[in-house]
Amino acid sequence: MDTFDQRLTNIITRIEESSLPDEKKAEVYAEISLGLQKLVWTVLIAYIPEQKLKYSTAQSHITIDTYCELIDEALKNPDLPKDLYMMTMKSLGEIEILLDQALLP
Amino acid sequence: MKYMTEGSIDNPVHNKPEQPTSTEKPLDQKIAAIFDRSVKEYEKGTVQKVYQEKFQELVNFMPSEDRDRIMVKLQKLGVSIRGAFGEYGSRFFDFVRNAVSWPLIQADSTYPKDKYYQMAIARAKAWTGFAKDTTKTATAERNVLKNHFLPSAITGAEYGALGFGIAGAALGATKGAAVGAATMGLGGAAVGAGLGAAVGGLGSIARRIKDRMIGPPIMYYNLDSGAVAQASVRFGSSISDNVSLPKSVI
Repeated sequence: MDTFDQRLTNIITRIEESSLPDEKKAEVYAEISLGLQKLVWTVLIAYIPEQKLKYSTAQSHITIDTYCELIDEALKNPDLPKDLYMMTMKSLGEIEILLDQALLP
Repeated sequence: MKYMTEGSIDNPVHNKPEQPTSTEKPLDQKIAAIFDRSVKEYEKGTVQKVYQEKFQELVNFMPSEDRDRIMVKLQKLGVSIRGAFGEYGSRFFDFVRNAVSWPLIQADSTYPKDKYYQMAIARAKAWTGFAKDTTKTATAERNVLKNHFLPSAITGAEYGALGFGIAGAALGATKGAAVGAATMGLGGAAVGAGLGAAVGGLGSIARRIKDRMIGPPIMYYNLDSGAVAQASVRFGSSISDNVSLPKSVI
């Protein structure tokens, strides 16, 4: 199990073991899911070359070819995975701290 | 204590030990705030905010394409993402691949529009203002996602699917990933409680929730066909999102 996997598992286990009602647990899981997804796109778009992004968003539609090209361009930068991983782990770390404060042991 | 004001003597409620006030944010909102803060910190100095909304709009309405062509694109994209994220672990790579693949899957008009599809749309929309959007549509999508995490939605049948998925992965070692995928698609549910019991418990529940959190059902495309090792990872990481796929998958 990699670090990301382990940390996410710990968070879920902690929430499952808490006395939160099921509905509240579901809301918390949904927020984590949404938040993780948001991080991916935030970092990814930042690494698409500005001119290409500008040109593409000025069009009336985008094809899957263009989409894949833009993503590939972003992935060429070795800083992208570092940034995304760091941001993801940082956010999960903050959630762990929050759970320590908010949930009874 | 601050609640000991005039009149509180006659109102025992005010004499109780101090409780979290009603202005205290719920846990889910605090978690949303953590992610929002991370995003805002990262956005500083970038120009992405200018284009992000337009980009999402375009990506969410990409013209439909042939399923086979989308599958080829997904496979190529998967290779690029694996190259970039491989060192961070299979689960992280898988998570990023799923997120990036979703716009392509939306462009496939033949993709099953089941509840997993709706859930994944809700998740995919998170990358812009969806979380703050209070329109009827966004609320409905958000509810789909939340309902998906209710423990009652994680059924005994899914536990069965998990057990069968593991068996499928083993089978894949000799007969290929496609066999495993097809077998699991036919009906983890039918396998029943026997296997489910074997993999039950809190760890299993956490796994099911984790699968729902980060993995849309891209196995429909059988992207890992022929790559047994990776297929095992797929079985292990995204089973719950695939348990209700129709027989047409096969």
